[in-house]
Amino acid sequence: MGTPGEVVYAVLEPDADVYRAYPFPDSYNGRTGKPLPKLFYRKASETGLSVGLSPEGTLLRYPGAAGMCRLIVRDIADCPDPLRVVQDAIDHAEIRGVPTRDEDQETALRIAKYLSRIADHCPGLFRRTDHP
Amino acid sequence: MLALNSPVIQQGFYYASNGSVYGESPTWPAIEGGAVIGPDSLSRTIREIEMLGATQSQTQDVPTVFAKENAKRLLSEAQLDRPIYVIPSAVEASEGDLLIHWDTTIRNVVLICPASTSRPAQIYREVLDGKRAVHSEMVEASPQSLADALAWVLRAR
Repeated sequence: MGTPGEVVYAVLEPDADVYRAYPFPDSYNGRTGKPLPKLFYRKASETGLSVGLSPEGTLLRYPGAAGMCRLIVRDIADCPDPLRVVQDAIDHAEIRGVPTRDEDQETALRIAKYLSRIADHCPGLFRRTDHP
Repeated sequence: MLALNSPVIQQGFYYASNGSVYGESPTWPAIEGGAVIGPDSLSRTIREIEMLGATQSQTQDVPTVFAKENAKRLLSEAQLDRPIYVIPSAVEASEGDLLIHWDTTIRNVVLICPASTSRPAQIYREVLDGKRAVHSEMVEASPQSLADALAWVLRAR
């Protein structure tokens, strides 16, 4: 339950897609065709990993994004470590349950590598031309 | 020297269907998962470490000089313990740290070299069942533990 006046969103459908923006062209690994694990390392200043609910909304929120990848909510929830996708705005959600590498290096790496494996690179959604 | 057609190299992992990835020599087999096997793995890995941050803009994550030198030392000394035949799937920087990933479809290894002396270098290992890790562990990095981990990642389950 939220506080009075706070919008509480319904739980996302398991087959819903979410999108994670690439801050830099090197967020994508041309060798594996997947984002680098570092795309999924949570910073101490973040409460979760920011994801958009649509490609358009993600580009609107991160206009300088070098690209993005797509993840399916069901696959995120299937992580051996407990993760939740919590919608917090009309077109935005956060992946919660990810420790920072300072808090728990092993779990942070395990989660980041898992999310990298289940992510699908979206090749048509690049704006910069210096992508590898 | 270990031949590329030896059992150690050929057992227990899978080759990518195209056999060539991202500028690699087509004669070097690529392991599905991203790592590549080659006779000059150490020099190629060190070259990748040196290139990281060399051409990127200042806004991008770059590893500290300490992290890079520590990684190069560990790799070079591990090579003295046991020849290294596997080229990383990813070499990345995060908040000054340097992380080197060697991934196959069943086993992964990561060398984590921190930005400064405040933390020790570590090695992460995981065993996969499909896309999920069914076991993981962290050990302190040393030339011996790195050599062991890089031999382990290529070994059959």
